[in-house]
Amino acid sequence: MNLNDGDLMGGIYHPHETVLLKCIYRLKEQKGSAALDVKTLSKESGLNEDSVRKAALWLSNKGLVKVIVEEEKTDSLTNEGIKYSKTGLPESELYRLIAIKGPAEIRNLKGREIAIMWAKKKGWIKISNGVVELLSHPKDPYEDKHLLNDVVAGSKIPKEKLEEFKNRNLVLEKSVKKESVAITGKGSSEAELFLKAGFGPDAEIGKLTPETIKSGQWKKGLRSYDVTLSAGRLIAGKKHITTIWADKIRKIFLDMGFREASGPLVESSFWCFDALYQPQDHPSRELADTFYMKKPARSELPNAPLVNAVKTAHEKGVDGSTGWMYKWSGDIAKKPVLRTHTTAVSARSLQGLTAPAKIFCIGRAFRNETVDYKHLPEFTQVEGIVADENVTFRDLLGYLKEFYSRLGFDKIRFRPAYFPYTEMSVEPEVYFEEKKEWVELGGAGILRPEVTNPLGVDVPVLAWGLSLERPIALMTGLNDIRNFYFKNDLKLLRDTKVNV
Amino acid sequence: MAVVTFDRRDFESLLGKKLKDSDYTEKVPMIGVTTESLSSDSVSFEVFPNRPDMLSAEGFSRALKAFVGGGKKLKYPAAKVYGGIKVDKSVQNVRPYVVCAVVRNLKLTDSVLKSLIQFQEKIHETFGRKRERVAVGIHDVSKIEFPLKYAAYEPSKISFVPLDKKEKLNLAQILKKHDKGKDYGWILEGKKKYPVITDAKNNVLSFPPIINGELTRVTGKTRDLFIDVTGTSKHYISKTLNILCASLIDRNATVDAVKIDYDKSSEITPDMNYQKIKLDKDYLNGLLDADLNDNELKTILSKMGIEFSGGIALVPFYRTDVMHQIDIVEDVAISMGYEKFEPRIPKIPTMAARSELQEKCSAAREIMIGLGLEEVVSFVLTNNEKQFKMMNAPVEEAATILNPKTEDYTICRKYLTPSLMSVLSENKHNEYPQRIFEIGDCVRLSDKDTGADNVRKIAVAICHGNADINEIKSVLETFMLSYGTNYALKNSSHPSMIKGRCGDIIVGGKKIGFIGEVDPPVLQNWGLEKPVAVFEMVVE
Repeated sequence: MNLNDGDLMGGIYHPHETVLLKCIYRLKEQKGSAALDVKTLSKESGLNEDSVRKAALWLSNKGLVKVIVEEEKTDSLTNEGIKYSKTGLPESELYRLIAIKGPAEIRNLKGREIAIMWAKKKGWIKISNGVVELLSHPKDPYEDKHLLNDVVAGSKIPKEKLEEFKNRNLVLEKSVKKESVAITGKGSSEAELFLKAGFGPDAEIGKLTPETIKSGQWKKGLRSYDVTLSAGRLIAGKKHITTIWADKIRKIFLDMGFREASGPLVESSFWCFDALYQPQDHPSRELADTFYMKKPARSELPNAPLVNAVKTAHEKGVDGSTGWMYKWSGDIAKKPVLRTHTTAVSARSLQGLTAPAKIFCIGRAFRNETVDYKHLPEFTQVEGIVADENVTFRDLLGYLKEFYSRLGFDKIRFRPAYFPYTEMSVEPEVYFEEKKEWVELGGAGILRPEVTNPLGVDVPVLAWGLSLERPIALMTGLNDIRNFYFKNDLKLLRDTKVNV
Repeated sequence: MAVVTFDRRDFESLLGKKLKDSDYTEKVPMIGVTTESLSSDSVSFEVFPNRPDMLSAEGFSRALKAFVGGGKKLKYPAAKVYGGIKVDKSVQNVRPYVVCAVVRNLKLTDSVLKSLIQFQEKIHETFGRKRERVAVGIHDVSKIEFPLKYAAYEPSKISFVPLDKKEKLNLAQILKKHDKGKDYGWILEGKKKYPVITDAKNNVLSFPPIINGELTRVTGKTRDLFIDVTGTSKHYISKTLNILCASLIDRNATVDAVKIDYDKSSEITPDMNYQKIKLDKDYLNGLLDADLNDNELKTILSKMGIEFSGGIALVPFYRTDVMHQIDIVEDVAISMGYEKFEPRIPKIPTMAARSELQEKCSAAREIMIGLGLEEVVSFVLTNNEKQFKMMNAPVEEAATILNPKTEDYTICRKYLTPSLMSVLSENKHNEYPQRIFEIGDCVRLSDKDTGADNVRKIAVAICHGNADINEIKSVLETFMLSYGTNYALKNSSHPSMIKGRCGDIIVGGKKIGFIGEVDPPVLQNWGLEKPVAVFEMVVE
């Protein structure tokens, strides 16, 4: 019989579907069962539970059955509850002990504090002058043990007892999802057609196996499958979304001829701030913004000429600058921090650099932030610098335009900005097609002479940086960046696109 | 960064020009600020910290006026000199500097008062570093008799009625009882004497940087003001006074000077002289890739309120951000408009190079993915609880944060395995098997210049109903084979692993990591109900 012959709604059925549908139909006709649970269906149809679930899902997609999901609450014992269901509750044990051995001094009952508390609450014992003695005799001191066993057996126990057990963390209420399947009107008429047609799962060969090939059995005809149905997904090995994007950016830099640099996560204030001409009372250096280290408590300053050059730049200025005009302190510069930006890596790279040079860094940076959907104490920063005798402001804009266009943002504009270590300072804004608006994406500029001069660099240095998470959020719509790192929600990661 | 809000009508009247909404969102940002919000009544801007002169409606409109063109330039006249204020040596170790001015014929309308109060608040917060570096006091000059005295006193020795109080309090009491004393008392912490400004009749004008006296309170009727600015840096207090005076002159007031007498020297403030910066035209044209001549520069710089002649840029006295001629170059670029600079990529011959460590990590990652493992990325920051205690491992010395904001992040991780355990415990609702790996940095205390080192590690965790030491061992074996490292395993023990199901990973005779099946009590700590097998090692 050809399954594609008109009568059967023109649909193609997996053998499990026909078996299940017929089974449900039969049970309804014979026993009047409206909705059947998966376990029963498995027993009655001969399919395993997983196959029943899948077939039911396919049938429900065709409108032939309805899958009803209900939550059922069941009570089960906790580890402690299981223990007591065997040994009896601690107060029962205590009762037995005193009943046998007579009154006991409380100091000899160390470790039985819980038992004493409950026995007292139940009115079994009293304590006078540090001595525990019996007050009354319960009908059954081991009643609670039996009740716990009733819970295991699924029998009903008094409500107040159940509440007490829950409060004592002996019983835990769990909700279990229960699925049941009911046939629809359409399903019933379809099942009648099946029965009339009389075909079943054995009519043709399903899976092609080495045996069926060898024996020639396949010649009887191979059953048609509906290739449009989902066969279920596999769990694939995959890069994390931040790696996918970091690799993309790494490739952009490498394609543009940049060299990759890296540096320490625990960094001295000197390299993180001072070498970048951030004055020592700058707000971003405050405890509220920067993680300072208790261990290690001190870092070493680099060689004296460099330290002196940086000190001079801050105090009096270099290369005709006025400087910040304050007294610079070496002790402050020695304080280790978790680097607040990868610009610290750039500063280290610049020391004694020979131009021309193009350097990039992708690395973790830290801010003492309170966590919310936009802010994390850790993020990944991307940064590029270009040092060459002939670079100009136009070249900075050129690199930015090229970089962002390769990242997927073709429309870009530049706005004046301020950073303590660059002048001209630029905030690139990219046009975000989906929202039809300009969004700020990173910062850029030409390093100030007060930065480059003490480091021994006498050519202009272009620099730009952005957080890795921001373009990811923009491009993927995953706005809550906590999902990337905290949770590493595997479902989310399994669903992310690799081709970016 | 500071956000300031101006009355839109007042702002536009200062500007002498009506602005359309689109001007605020498109044109104004090109001077280097962000328009935060806009309505028919008010407008808010985010002002960068290098331009405190734009924290007031007057200063902002002045900068914009030059930039968009229109309006006439105001002259800042030199004026009469009041005499004076004597600075006593006793303030040297407390708050050494003071500058003053007298402002006359000011019409203190509501908008002027509002702008003045907002400016004072914002300048204290930002440029003044929460009043530590700069604090401003404003007084009714008619209540004051010159000459004045700026000196430090023992806290219990002097008392006066501070603003918003009815009774006299001594300085120590003010720090304890007055709201401002509670807010700013930290600035005077550890000082034996506190600074006070008194007048010829020994009335207290001000207890900087905390509070003024009630006596000299400014009201709507006040016409003439006395301004004191005190602080730790003469440069910053002078600039603050200049910005304030410029704003009030914009409001048609006149400014008189005050003579400041130090022990051995004296000066007259405010100093409204231009700052002169020599501008090297070749330097400027080189950096901007332009070919601007003197006349063009003159026109361009005048839009930024800067005069230019004979190779010298004359920077107005209220600008605080000009330190080097590069700052003038930027003003030229802003004045011309960043959109005037055509982006261009230069030909700079450099060789691309990946870091060796990244190469290794990429190679390792490829193999892990080929093995069907899912990559996770987690924080370097963690705490002792997660890193050691929940692993049933003894707490080790780790790079430790001095000022954590939450108990979640107090140390840098030394091991990746706890990070993976955390990911598994967060993913119990997701489909199994869960075979995950992480390649990431740990931190180790060391004798490097910073006192600590990054250590790049790789770790794998396998979690499902049948996960065991054998499966993780085949992952390790396959990984090492593909990666090309000869290694050996040695039976050992680990506090987090099942006894007898754990080993050291040895490369070149050195232990580089461990492998094992996680001990059930540790699984329970993380709320995991399926077995977990792991390995962790240094990326070599």
